[in-house]
Amino acid sequence: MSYRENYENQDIALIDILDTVLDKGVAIKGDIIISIAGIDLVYVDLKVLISSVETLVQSSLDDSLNSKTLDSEKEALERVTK
Amino acid sequence: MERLLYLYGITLKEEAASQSISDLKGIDGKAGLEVLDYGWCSAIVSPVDEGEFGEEALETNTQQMEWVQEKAYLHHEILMSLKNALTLIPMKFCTIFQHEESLKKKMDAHEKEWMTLLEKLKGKEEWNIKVFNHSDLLKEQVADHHPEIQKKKEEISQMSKGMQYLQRKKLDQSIEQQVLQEQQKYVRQLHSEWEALCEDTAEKKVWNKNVTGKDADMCWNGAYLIEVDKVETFLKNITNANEQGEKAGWVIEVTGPWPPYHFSSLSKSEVD
Repeated sequence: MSYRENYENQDIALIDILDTVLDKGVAIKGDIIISIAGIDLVYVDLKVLISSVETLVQSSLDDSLNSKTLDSEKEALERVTK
Repeated sequence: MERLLYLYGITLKEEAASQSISDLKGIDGKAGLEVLDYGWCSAIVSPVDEGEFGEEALETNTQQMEWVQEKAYLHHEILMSLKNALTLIPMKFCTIFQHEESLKKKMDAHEKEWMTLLEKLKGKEEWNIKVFNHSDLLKEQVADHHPEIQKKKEEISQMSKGMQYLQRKKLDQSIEQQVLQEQQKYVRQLHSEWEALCEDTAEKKVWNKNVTGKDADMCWNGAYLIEVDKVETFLKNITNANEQGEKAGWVIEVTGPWPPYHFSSLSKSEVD
């Protein structure tokens, strides 16, 4: 068995996905896109998004919002989306 | 209602042409994906409703964590399917254009940069690595064997009882700090080994325990862009490192291959 088969497409925690697809890159990207595409690009209100992600990912002191809870929510999502 | 375009990613036209992408559903779960060609590149988009993805709607929706979770997850799922089929420059969540015209402008203006980037990403994969440490053993080791700590212990034992109490507290802090340093040294060493096998790497923020929900400390969080041919060696190295570090409380978690999220942004200079 190859090493790849061992690791490939293992379950990824929802929090990892959120951290990656939302992260501060959104902010930077927002700025960049605004500056290159004029004003008619819709983008997520950065402050709002970043604060919601930070609540989730960084400063979460609420134990109910940790990775495990998110994973159970992800399972529920998978049932819906598959 | 305005037809907004949600952009998932950019690929080479020749690759897009050979794939049946329209079978995939977009972020709203209804509209199929569309491929729009611009020169040598293609944009993969789907139309979305202004009622859900317009600027005002997003302001409300993004404050609802449930909406963000569901849609961000879908975004990722769609990009996973795309990256399995194509060389892809993945977009971040909610990259939306109000008009096809503005998408065209962006595509035309950056065709060369997209091409260069796609060339760089071709035949490579992104893998993410997180390194965790159960610090009990390391703490014990530092407390019992680190020369500076031993010296301080020796000094404390000569002090009066009251002083000893205060100094012990300080000593605990020194031990914590030393443990942190040892952890950093360890993961930097691992990282440099992995880096040598990779085209590019990106350091990510480590999460605290509230976020991970684990007992162990997260000591490293990084993304690695690596040639497909080298992935096996890379993963072998990680497996070995995992076995070697296990007894000392180290755990390495690998996920992938991801869409190359961490290696796909245009630098500022290219954008101006």
